[in-house]
Amino acid sequence: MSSRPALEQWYRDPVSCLQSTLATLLLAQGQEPLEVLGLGWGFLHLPGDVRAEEFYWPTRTPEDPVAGVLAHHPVTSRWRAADPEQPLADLQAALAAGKLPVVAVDNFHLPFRPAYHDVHSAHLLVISAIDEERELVRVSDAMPPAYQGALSIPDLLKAWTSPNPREQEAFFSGAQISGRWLDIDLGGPYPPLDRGRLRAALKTNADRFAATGDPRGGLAGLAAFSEELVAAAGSGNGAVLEEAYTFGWGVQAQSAVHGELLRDCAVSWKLPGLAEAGRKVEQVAHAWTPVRVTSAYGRVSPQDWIVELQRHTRRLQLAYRDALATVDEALEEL
Amino acid sequence: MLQHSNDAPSMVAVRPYSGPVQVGPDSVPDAIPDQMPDQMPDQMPATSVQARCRAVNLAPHRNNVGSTPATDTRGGAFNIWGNSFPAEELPAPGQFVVDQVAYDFPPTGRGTADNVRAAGQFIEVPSGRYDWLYVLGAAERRVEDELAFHFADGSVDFEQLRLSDFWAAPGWFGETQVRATRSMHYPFHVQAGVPAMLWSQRVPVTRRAALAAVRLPRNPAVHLFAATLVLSGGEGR
Repeated sequence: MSSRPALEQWYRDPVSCLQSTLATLLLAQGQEPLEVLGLGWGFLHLPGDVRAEEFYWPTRTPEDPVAGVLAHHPVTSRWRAADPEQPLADLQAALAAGKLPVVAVDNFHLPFRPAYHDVHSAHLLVISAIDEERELVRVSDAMPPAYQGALSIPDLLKAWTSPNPREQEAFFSGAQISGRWLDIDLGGPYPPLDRGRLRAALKTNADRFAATGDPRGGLAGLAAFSEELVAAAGSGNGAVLEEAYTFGWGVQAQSAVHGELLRDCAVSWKLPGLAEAGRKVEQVAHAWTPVRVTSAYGRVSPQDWIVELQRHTRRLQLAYRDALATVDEALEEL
Repeated sequence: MLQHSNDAPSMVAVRPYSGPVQVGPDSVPDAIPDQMPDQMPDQMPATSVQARCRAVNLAPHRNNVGSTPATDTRGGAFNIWGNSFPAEELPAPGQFVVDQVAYDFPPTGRGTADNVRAAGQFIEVPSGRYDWLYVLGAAERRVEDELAFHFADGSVDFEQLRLSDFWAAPGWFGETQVRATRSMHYPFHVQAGVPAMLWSQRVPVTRRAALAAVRLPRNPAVHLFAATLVLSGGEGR
């Protein structure tokens, strides 16, 4: 193994491995994850695009999949595929260039995951070192039970090339792993978050929510998603409900960390209105819970859950509108 | 030889979480007391605790198997993954005191329903004037949802029920942490190092009127093992 120092990890219970692996990269660059991951807040739903992966994130720029996650930062990213003849070569090159490659894996083959030899599911890991002589890589996985340490190369290869078959798991299996890895250039270091940068980001977020140019984005996209989810329940289309659970993870997590960031800034800057805005944004995250969980249970008998989905999608939209209005009020004191 | 354990503890630098619970195996206590420090008998005699509390009878409404014995975890269904609490680490059936409130904890680990998964149940309660509804429960991810207090005079008040996640999460809403178990039960194995969290939460009853019933949210992420109403000051003495 190389002598690269241990990586710091960061986790919040609403986040997925997408945010937690990005946080590891941010920490390695000396950035505070919350103020980077929490700056963007938006909505985009692309029917038919949802893949059964823990790290699914809807984007209009699939050639740069992380850009939409860190919408206010100059990050660039690209999905790459391992060379079957030399699967570790690209990862070694990335490490040699000072990057931390993020690999897609199937938890079924990872001895430190609860799903080991139990459940297939698509997950992300950070690779920090490769020792081909000892047949080991060092990985970082901040999702509970947080792990940082050795993984055998044979296990990595099994996880990295797994067909991730759909057997007993409905939400994060069935999507081929195919030796994918994320090549991410954070484009940092970023300047510290100050009032001016936060104000600009909040205005941009609000403008994007209000925009009507993309019918799948912003409040218009949220309304369409809500209407279609209830309609799917009415027509007995469990597949749409199933996708809603997977899709909702990313947007729920984004709302949670955005709200926490606003409250953190409010404490530092003594801005009680901003703290209240942050709490309202967290309520959006919490309003996602029954939408996702009801969808998950409802996929089996969708028509039994129509009333619940009507109620929870209505409240979700109200929560977004209330939070946006409170953020707008808080801008006055920023 | 393949290695599957951490290289060395000193290599792991996990940023401490700001919440009251740090997830992972190091956060799980070796011994879990049945009473939290603020419930010790010298602070409030058991008779006083019982006198101010009225247990809500959830038995007719239990509809979910949230705990399993380690010897048979397949029947658990606390969340969509079939995870469940280790019954061995939950309170014994009967009176369980936390937050100076006496709960009536249900039998667990028997393969029968041990908690109420919220589906809009209308639960009649012992008539009385109360200050608080206390609940022992957890959520499948964080939950904030409305429950309704129905009063004998026909008035209705809505209040927020807030519960944190049961899967290796810190308390996000200021609840009392009742359990952070040493393991999580999966349908086909017992997973060490992933705690299942049990919370004690409270909801205010602000109206000074006799309470008649509580309507739970229609929210399948909400799970309640027990509920107790605390009488208004002066009542029950």
